[in-house]
Amino acid sequence: MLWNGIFYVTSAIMLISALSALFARHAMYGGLYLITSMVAMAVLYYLLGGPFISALQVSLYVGAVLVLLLFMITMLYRPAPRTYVPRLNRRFWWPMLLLLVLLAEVATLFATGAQTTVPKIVSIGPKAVAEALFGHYLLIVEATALLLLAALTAVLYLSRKVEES
Amino acid sequence: MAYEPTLMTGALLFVIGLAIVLLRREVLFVLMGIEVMFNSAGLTAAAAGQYWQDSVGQILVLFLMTITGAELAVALVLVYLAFRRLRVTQLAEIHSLRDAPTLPQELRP
Amino acid sequence: MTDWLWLIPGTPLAGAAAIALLGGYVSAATCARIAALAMLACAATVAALWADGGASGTAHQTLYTWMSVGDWHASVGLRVDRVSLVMVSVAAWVGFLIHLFSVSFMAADYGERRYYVYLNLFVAGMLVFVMADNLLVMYLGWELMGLCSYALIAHWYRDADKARCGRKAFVVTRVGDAALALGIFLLFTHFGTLDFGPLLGAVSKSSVDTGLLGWIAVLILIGAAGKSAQLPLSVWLPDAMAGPSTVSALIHAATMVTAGVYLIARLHPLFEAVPQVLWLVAIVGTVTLVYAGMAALGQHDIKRVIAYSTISQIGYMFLGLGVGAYGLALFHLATHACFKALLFMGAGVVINAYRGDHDIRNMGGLAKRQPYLRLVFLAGSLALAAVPFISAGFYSKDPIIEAAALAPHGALLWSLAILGAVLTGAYAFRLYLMVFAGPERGETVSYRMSWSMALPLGLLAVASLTLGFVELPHGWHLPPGLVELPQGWHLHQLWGPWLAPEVGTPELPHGSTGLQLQLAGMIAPLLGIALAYAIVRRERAGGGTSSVRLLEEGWYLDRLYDLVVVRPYFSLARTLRTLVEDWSLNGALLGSAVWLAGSGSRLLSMTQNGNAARYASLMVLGAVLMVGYFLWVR
Repeated sequence: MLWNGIFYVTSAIMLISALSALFARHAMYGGLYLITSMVAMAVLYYLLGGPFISALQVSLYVGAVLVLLLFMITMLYRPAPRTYVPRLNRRFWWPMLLLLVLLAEVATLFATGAQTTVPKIVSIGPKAVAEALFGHYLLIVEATALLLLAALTAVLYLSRKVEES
Repeated sequence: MAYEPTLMTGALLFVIGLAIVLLRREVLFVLMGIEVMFNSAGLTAAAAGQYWQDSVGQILVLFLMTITGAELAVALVLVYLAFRRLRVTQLAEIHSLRDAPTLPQELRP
Repeated sequence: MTDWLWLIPGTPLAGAAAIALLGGYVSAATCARIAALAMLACAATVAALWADGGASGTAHQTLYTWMSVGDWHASVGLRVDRVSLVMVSVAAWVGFLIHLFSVSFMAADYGERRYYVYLNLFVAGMLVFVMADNLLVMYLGWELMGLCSYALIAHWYRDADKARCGRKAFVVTRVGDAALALGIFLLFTHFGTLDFGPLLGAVSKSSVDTGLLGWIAVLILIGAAGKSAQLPLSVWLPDAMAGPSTVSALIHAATMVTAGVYLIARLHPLFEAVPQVLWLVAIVGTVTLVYAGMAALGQHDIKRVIAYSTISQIGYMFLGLGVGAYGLALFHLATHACFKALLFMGAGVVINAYRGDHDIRNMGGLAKRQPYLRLVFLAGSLALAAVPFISAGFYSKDPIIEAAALAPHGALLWSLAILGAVLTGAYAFRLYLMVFAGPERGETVSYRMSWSMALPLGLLAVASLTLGFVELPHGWHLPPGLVELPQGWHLHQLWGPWLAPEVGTPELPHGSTGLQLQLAGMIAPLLGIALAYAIVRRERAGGGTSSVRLLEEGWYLDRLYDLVVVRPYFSLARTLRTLVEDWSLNGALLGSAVWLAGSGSRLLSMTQNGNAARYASLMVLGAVLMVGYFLWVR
C-alpha cells in the first residue's frame, strides 16, 4: 500500500519533470529538469528491488553523464529567450501526430485490465548482480570495456587541437 | 507490485523522450531526449528483472548506463565541434548531406 | 552442264558484288565494263546450255539447303526446262545487249557505279526467279527484282519527283507481292510443299478443293498483275519512265514485267483446275490491252507512249495465257522483249538527240539526221504494230488473237483484241511518224552512236523482223524442196511443239473461220497505220489525240487512285498519329511514366534532405506503422 503510493508519486514526479524538460526555455533548465527526473528514476529503481542500480543511477548517470552534458551546455552558452514558444507549423504537427498515434498504440499495448502482481518485492543486491556479471555475462563486460576504449579514443582524437594554417 | 503500471510508466516516459527528440530543434535537447528514452528502457528492464526475480534486469541497466555514457561523450564532442566549426546549434542547420530536390531539365514532362 | 547451272545467275551476281565492293577503287567506266563482261559470261553460259542439249531435256541442280524445319526442307535449286529456257535466254541475251548499250549510253552520268550494281543484281534476280525450282526461291527472285526496279527507277534520286516515281512503283507492286505471298502461304498450308513438281501434281488431282484453289489463283493473279502492270495495278509503269531509258528497256520491256506472265505459265495446272479464274486472266489482259492502247494514243512523252504500249502488249500475253495458249504467250513475250527493248533504247537516243526533250510534239524529221536510228526504230515499230509477213510481232500476236476467238465468250475477247491490234498500229506509227517523218523540227544535237550502242540496236532490229519465222501460222507451207526437215516436223512446228510437252497445244480455229480470222488479223494493223497518218497530220496542226485529256491522263486512273486510296490512307495515318502517337503514347503513357518517375523521385528526395529531425520522424513513422500493424491488423 505504502509501496504503491510512493511508486505513483515518484513516477509522477519523473514524468512531470521530463515533460517540463520538453518545454524548457534554455538547455540548462532542461538539463536540470532531467536531473530531477533521473533522481526520481533512482528512487524507482530502489522501489523495484534494485539498490545497486539505484546507487549507480545517481552516481553514474546523474553524477557523470548528466554532469558531462551540463558541462557542454555551459560551454555552448547562448542567452535564454523570454519564453519558449514553439512554432506551430508543419514541422511541429507531423511529429505531434506521430507521437499521438504512438501514444495510442502504447496505451493499447499496456493498458490491459490484466493484473499481474508480484507478491513480494525481493531486493536483488549487489552481490547477486556481481555474481552474474562476472560469471555468466563476463564476455559482455569485456565487450563493453572495449567499446569504452573505442569511445575514449574517438573523443581524444576529435578534441585534439588542429593546426590553424 | 503491480506489473502493468510499471510498464505503462516506462512507455509514457519513452513517448516523452521521443517528443523531446522530435519537437525540439536544438542539438543539445535532442541529446537530452535520447537520454530520457534510454532511461525508460532501463526502467522496463529493472521491472522485468524483478518480475522474473533475476539479476539480469539490473545487469541490463548497468550496461545501458555504461554505453550511454560512452555515446554521450562522443556525441558531445561532435556537438562542440559543430558549434566551433559550423557555428550551429540548431539541428536543422547541419544539412550538408542533403539530396538535390529538383529534377534535371530533360526529365521534366 | 547441270553442274554449271549456277553460273547463269551467279555471273551477274558476282558482277554486282564486284562493283559494289571494288567500285570505289576503279573508274566508273571500268565498272561498266565489269558489268558488261559479267553479262557476256552469263549469255555465253546460256549459249553453252543450248549447245549442250538444254533444249531437249531438263537440267536440274540443287545448290544447298536453305532452311530445314522439322521434316520440311527448303532448298535452293535451279531447274531449267523448256519454258524456263525461253525466259533465261531472253533475260541473258537481251540483258547483255542492254548492258552493252549502257556502257556508252550511261557514260559520264552521276551514280554510274550504283547503276551497274543494281542492273547486274536485277538480272541475277530475274534469272533466279526464272530458274527456281520451288516457290520460295522464286519469291526471292521476285523480291530482288522489285528492289532493283525501285532502285533503278529512282536512279536520279536527287530529283524528288523521280524518287517519288520509284516509290510509287515499289508500293504498287508491293500490293501484288503481298497477294502472291498470301497465295504461297495458302499453297504451303494445304499442300505442304513448295517444290513445283510435287505441288503441281497435287493441284491437278481431282480431290482438291476448288474453292480454295480459286482463291489461291486469284491471289497469284493479283501478284502477276502487279508485277506485269495490268489493270488495276498498271499505274506505276507510265511513271516508271522517270528512270534511264536502258532501265526501261531491261526492266519494263524484257524482263520484270514479263515475270507475271512466266508465273502464270509456270503455275498453269493450278489455273487449269479453276477455269473461271483462267478466264479472269484473259479478261484482265483484254481490258488492259484496250485501255492501254487508247491511253498510248493520247501520250506526248515518247517514253510514256512506249510504256503504255508495254502494258498493252503484256495484256496480249495475259490474254494468251487466259485462253490456254501458254506457248503462244511465251512466244509473244520473246518477240516483245526484242522489239520493245529496241524501241526503248532508240527512244533514249532520240531524247539525247533532242537535248533531253521528251515531247514528241516538238520533234520531227529526225530521219535525215539519224538514218541508222530511223531504220532500227522502224523495224521496232513494224514489229510492234505486227505488220503482216515481215515482222515478228505478227507471227506471235496473231495466233493469240485467233485462239481467243475459241475461248468462252470468244466473240467479246476477239473483237476487243482486234480493236487493240488497230490501236497498236495507230499509236506505234503515230510515234514513228511524229519523230522521224516529215520536215525537220526541234533543236537537235548531232549525236553519234558508238559501236556499243549501234550493235545492240541492230541485232535487236534483225531479231524483231526475223524471230517470228520459227512459228509460222498453221496452214502455211513452205515451197517444197527449200529446206530439208526431219521426218514428222513441219516448219511451223519449231516453237509450239517444242514447248507442247510442258504447256500443251492451244486450239486454233481451222478452215474458213480460221482464214477469215487470219485475214482480219492482217488487215487490222494496216488499218491502224492508216489511222496513224491521219492522226499525225492533225497533230502537226496542233490538235490530234494529244489534246484528248481523257487519253492523256490514262483514263484518270491515277487521279482515281489518289482519291480513293492515297488520300484516305494519308488522312488515316495523320489521324492515327494524332490519336495514338501524340495523345495515347506520348501524352498518356509516356507522360504518365515521366510524371510518375518525377513525382516519385521528388517524393523520395524529401527523405534525403539532410534534416536529422526528419530522419528521426521517419524512423518513428516506421516504428509506429509496424507496431500498429501487429496491434490492430493481426
